[in-house]
Amino acid sequence: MDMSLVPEGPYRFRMDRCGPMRVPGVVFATPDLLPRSAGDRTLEQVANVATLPGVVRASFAMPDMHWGYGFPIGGVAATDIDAGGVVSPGGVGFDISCGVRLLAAGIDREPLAPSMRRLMDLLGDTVPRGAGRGGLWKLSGRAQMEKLLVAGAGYAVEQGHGVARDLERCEDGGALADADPSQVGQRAVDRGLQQVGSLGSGNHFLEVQAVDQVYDAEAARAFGLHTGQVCVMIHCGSRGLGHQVCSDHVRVMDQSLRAFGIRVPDRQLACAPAVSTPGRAYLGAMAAAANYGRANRQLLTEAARRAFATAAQTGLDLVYDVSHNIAKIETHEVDGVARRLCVHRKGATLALPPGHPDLPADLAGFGHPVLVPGTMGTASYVMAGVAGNDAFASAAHGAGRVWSRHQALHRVRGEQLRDELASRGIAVRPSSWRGLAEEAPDAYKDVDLVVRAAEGAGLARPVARLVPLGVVKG
Amino acid sequence: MTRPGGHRGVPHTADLRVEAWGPTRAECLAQAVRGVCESFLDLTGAVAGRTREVLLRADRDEDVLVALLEEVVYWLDTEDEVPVDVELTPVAGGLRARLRMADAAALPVTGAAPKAVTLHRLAVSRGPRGWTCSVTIDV
Repeated sequence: MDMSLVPEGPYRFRMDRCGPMRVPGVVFATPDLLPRSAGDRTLEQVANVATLPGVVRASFAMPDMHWGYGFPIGGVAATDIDAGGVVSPGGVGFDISCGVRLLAAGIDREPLAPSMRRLMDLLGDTVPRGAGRGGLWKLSGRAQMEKLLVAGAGYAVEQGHGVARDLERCEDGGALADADPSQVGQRAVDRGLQQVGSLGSGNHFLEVQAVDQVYDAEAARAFGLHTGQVCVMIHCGSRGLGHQVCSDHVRVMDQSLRAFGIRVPDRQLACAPAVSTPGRAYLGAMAAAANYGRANRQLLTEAARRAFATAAQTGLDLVYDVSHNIAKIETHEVDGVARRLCVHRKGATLALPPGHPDLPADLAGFGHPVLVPGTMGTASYVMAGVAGNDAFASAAHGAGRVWSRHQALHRVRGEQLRDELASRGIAVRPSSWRGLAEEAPDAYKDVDLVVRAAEGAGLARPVARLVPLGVVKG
Repeated sequence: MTRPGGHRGVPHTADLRVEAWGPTRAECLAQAVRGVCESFLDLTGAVAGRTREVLLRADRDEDVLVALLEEVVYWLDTEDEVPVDVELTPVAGGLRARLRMADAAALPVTGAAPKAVTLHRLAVSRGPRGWTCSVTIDV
């Protein structure tokens, strides 16, 4: 396939249809943000996604796009479920409902400074991370797990792990509807029983941040943010349970491709019509795993609240919780007709425009919060959805990797990075030196450029910029 | 002439890609297990305790590899165990794997833990120098 890009404006490129592509590709980026390393297959993956049955409008890539498997990370695609449109677990990713939660502390940066060391020690000691078991909440068995899979963060709050207001500031009120725990296999449950309330590893983190700059004071006020304020950002997902759900349903769909007459260019794009038996089974299991991810972040919130109460005698209010690995059935207008679509966002955030009925009442005038974590050495952003986003109201989800983990290890030493960050006032509590080096700030795109491109492309607008003060690395 | 078994990590932007090889399919797949485990733990000095025996049934060699590595991920997540020795025996329709497990929590962590085995650019093949395989692991 010809994957050459045609500029359509300063922040947008078009990949024309060719070969088996059913729709064009659209890449939101500046030339600097396009994939450049030899052997990178991001654009090939944008083209592959455009071949999915029922795909409409375009296969989109966000400015933080990078090479994934199946879909690119930062990929968005919607299929018309009433016209044979498929759901593909590869369009959600293994870490179902991986997402970001932002909490606003009742304290500013300067008054916190004397307590910062104690706070980081407490967070480092009490936030479970790394491989294996060790979650904060051990579930008693499958029966309790099923309650959590149905009600998500709501079940955690009902069991005393949070306050009712938390749910008002979670996407979907903290639980995706139509979760079907019976479609979650026993191995997935086994993996999840002892991991509720844990970061995991890789690029997951809990970061103490401060609001460095506010771009829209009114929106920031509605979100509960002001310049100098301390915040906590949590990035994690559905741990082993979500990964097992993805693996199990990819296997089923891989085997059912022929029955549906579907050919995919990458086995990781295995899919089935969204209304078919395997399609519905996956969507039910995916919603259940998404709810696990939301409960997981709710438990980590409780740990952060305890640490802040002890070290700084202050509380944490939820700003918002977003999922950036998810598929949802949404209604969008395509070619002038309202259609029911299965919108896959893999490494992309929902960015509803102001006035959308799904927004919480107090945020309705400002658009859906879009949380864009950068790196432990640069910055993160709070953005908000805008009108006119033709990528099915989707925006970037982070900075986006440019170096492989190998490259990072060749160029960076974990201990040296820790010292460099410390010299800039950023305290790090890593789980391993190698893991820290793999997540070095230079391994990622410049998040300031990603946010500028997202704004320029009409995906979302910046509300506030946050800088890191301390990082607990998964 | 076949070459002795081995493995190496290959760059992939966000995740882990492992290539392994060996004179037999069993050795090649066992090397892949070793490659995955060494990507996140220092196995030097690891002491094997209990043995887990599993039957891996799959039509294709690629799917046997996936099933084998999924066992590694499962036991790591549920019992904090990691295999330090792998013995694979062909059986009708697949392989029998005997995994000699060590306590992962007692070993130094050197990288991000594997969480899933992907089908992206998955390959197992036999050539004049023996067997080779490559697999991308979600970390």
